[in-house]
Amino acid sequence: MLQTAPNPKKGVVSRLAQGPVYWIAPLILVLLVTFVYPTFEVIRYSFTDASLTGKDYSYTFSSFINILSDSQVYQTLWTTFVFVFFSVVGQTVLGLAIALAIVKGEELKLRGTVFVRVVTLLAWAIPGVIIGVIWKIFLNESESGILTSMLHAVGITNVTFLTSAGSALVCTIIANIWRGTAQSMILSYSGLKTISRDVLEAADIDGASSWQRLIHVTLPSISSVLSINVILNIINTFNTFDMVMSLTSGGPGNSTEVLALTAYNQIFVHMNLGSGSAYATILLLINGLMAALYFWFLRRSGEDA
Amino acid sequence: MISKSAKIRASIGLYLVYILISLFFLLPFLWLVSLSFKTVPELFQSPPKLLPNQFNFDNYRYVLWKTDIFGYLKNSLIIVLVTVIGSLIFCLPAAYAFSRFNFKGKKMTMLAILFFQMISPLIVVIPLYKYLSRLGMLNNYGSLIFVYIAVVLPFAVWSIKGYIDTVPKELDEAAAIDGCNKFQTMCMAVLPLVVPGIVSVVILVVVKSWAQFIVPFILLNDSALYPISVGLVNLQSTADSITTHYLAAAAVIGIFPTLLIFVILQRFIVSAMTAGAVKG
Amino acid sequence: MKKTFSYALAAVMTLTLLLSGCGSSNKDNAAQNNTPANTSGSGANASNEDIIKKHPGGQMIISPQLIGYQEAEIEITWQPNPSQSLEATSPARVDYLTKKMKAWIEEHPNVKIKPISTSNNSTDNMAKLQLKLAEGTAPDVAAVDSFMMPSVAEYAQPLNDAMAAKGISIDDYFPFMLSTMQPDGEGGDILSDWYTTDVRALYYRKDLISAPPATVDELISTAKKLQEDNPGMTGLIYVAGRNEGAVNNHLGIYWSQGFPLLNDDNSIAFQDGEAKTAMLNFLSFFENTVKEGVTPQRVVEFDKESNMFGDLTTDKYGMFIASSSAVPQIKEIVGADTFEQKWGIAELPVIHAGDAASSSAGGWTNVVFATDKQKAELAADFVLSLYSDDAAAGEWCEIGGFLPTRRSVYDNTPAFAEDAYAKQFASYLDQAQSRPPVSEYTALSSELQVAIGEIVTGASTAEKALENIIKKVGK
Repeated sequence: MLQTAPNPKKGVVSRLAQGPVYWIAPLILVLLVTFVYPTFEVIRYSFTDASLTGKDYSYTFSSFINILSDSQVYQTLWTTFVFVFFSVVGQTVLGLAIALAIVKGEELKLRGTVFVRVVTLLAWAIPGVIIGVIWKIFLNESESGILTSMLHAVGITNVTFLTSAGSALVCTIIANIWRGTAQSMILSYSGLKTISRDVLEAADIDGASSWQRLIHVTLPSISSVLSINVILNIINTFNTFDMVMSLTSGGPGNSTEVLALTAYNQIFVHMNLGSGSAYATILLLINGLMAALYFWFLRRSGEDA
Repeated sequence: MISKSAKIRASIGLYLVYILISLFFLLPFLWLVSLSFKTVPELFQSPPKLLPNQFNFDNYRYVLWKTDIFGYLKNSLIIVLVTVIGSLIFCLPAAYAFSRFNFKGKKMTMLAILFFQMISPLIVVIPLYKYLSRLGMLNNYGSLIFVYIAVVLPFAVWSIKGYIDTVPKELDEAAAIDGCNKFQTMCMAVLPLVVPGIVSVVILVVVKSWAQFIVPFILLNDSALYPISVGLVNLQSTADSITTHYLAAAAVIGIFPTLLIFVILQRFIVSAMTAGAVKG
Repeated sequence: MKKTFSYALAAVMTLTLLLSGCGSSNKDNAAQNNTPANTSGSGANASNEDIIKKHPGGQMIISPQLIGYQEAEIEITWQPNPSQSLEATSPARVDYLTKKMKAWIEEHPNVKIKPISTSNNSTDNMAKLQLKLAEGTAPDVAAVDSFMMPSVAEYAQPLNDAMAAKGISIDDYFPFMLSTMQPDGEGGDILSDWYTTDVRALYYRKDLISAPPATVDELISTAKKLQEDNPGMTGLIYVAGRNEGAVNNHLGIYWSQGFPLLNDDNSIAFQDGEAKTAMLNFLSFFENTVKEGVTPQRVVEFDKESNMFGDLTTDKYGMFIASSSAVPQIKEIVGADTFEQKWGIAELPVIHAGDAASSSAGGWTNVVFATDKQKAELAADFVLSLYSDDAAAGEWCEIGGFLPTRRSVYDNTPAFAEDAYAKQFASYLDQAQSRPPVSEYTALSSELQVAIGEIVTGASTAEKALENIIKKVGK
């Protein structure tokens, strides 16, 4: 590594530059201070029967035993998986597609590209609970529901949205894609913007078709941004509960119950801190597992390259 | 060079895509705008009308004058602004270090940071309340913003590291030869090239903090300190009163500041790109 | 270890605070320290009275952030139900409360009330209150969902004196309220004041149905006949979305059979025998109404009563089940006259002909948590003057669309004495029950909500759903 001689006037700055510690330490400190103790507490509570008010509690494995012996949990895990998988695929692909369309439009100097970007972002300024409320009103199946009455007008009746198990999950996923695409769009868009023009022009000169250019030049150039985008989408979707809560509350039946919602319900509705913390701990474990998998995957693909 | 007719065909295709995208993202929102102009009986009218019978601004008037929405908006702006500045201070050097330094345990540290992203506020908010309550730091923007910063930091570091990765390392080496130390290299040579990335992360930090609900709801007691997200959620209908029309109006108002921020910030994405092109 | 840790935290937080420059310091504590030293015993009352009456000067403020004079020496923290506070969206409620607060502050100029804001969502609201109680940061007085009251009872301070001073007698309240208000039984401490209530009923089109059905079977046949006579009409709708309402609104149908939900030890009461049959009958009500075609599957999207109102504005629905608070809300939408011409109310149907009908009642209570005697008295006096005493209860309930909780209020308030609906609701309250106020019920209700959703959408049958519930929450 190249290292310049320390400039006496800028002693502090140079010292900062010596190694990674000073660059990273403040960040690590903020994260540790905020998260370590609470996370430790959550794990501790998960081995208790504490309620939200109760000061007296005892240590027990009962929360975990109850959770793992309940067949419902496995259904919830499956629902969560389906919800996360399709949401993430939808958000990432749609976000990338919109970003590509906008970049292409800018190249052709089309009007309206800013409008499209702004429109995609609208949903993000609204808290999840309210997004759920909006979509619930939008998908209302009574005659005063807007989508229902529009479909009736063109002769489509007998469509269910939130009132049967399968369609409720589909609608929840669509609403979640609506909500979360902005992040993918913005990250992909600025990723595309940072690609060096030379690289793209070189590809043009080689006579590559636009599809080839996309697959062989554009996507590899933003692969780092894309993979971060995917992992962030997974984390966001996996931990989301607010929109689902106000859209379906996990119903009808258990058809849209996701793990984070169960954790919320246990703590805030049932006031059961012990059991809620146990769900939160499971949530954390799965999160950790996914992070490890992702890292393993990154490392492997890094070695192959 | 692309022929003119091909260009026209591409434009038409793109506009079709734009229309589809806009429809998908706008329809629920347009319905919200429509509801914001309706009276209670109109909310329940069937069949519904996309346009209200008459544009009645009573709901807006109510939200603007009878609720503390200006206060909520001001609070949100303060919280978001400080969160953005704070998170950049903490994350830019770290992101640069992760991209450029080689050191033992780098991957493990990155993984650990990613793990913090996975601790959702829901999971930690109860212990956080207890912990801050014992330190006497509840109902206080200092601790609230600290938590906000911590919540957005992991993703900010990861994203900005990703953008810095796209800048060729030769550039750093060139800067070093010119006599820049690492800090100068970061500030003068590398960061200007990833401004689009930084701006997009800032946008995401803004919206993430803007829509945060559970943390401020639990950590704040005083409604005078509430951000817009909590104010909005409190306009939901209850068992004994219907307030959907007010909620709609407040949601529309609440979206505007973020829209404005975005419209301003997105210029930086474009201008930074052209600046880069000129230099290149 | 812990100490160094908190120092580190404090240091970093100070940094942030400096950066932000907008942290609000902990004014609450400072204000509390200014409170005059507590004096107890009757001898000190006179001087207490003087302190309370002492005028602090300045401008009286009535706002969602502060009620009273800024300089007042005594501060009471109050966590109201947001929709029953100055943050309410109904101008009538705000006007009423402002008027009452002004009057109270004029009587007690040296006392200021500091409202603590919470959420309109009552579960979030209650969770936050519990958290505060556990941490010792509870407000001096709070509105508590009647059904959650027992979970905070250990922190509650007696209201006996304050209610006696206002001339409110516990005997005036409806029977089902007593166990919540006076948990230790007759003569015990009164730990909460139940100040608004509601009760569930069957609403029916009185222009189309001559006699409302009394049993579930009659309900289904009435609905069927209605649908035959009026093509395009739907017989019955109710709340079946995954929310407390899906259970709470219909529990009366189960209770009418004479079985409780939980045993004395809070175990599930319907694990076997007749009680199990009774629960099966209850769940079959949902199964049969949908199977017989009188209720559309779509009712699972109603997680609040207000979700039904869009449908009810059309002339296409014959009956629905909802709480008493639906009356003022539907009147607002369709107009009072139209509502009164069309809709009659009847008791919830029973399973077996001849059984007495039952219904679930809810509402809000006020609970005082202040341990300082003077503050506790003032806090109790404040909320009683606002919502509960003879000068307040009738007007408040009329404005808010609630049912009063004391019988004498019905007799003394024209709006209730002369209103046909109110009279009927009052008679239902005599038979009403409240949900078992224990966490076991919350867990059970959750399972029942899931079961109702599955039964209505056809994903499960009543029998299978019942077995499933017993398997999960039994033992």
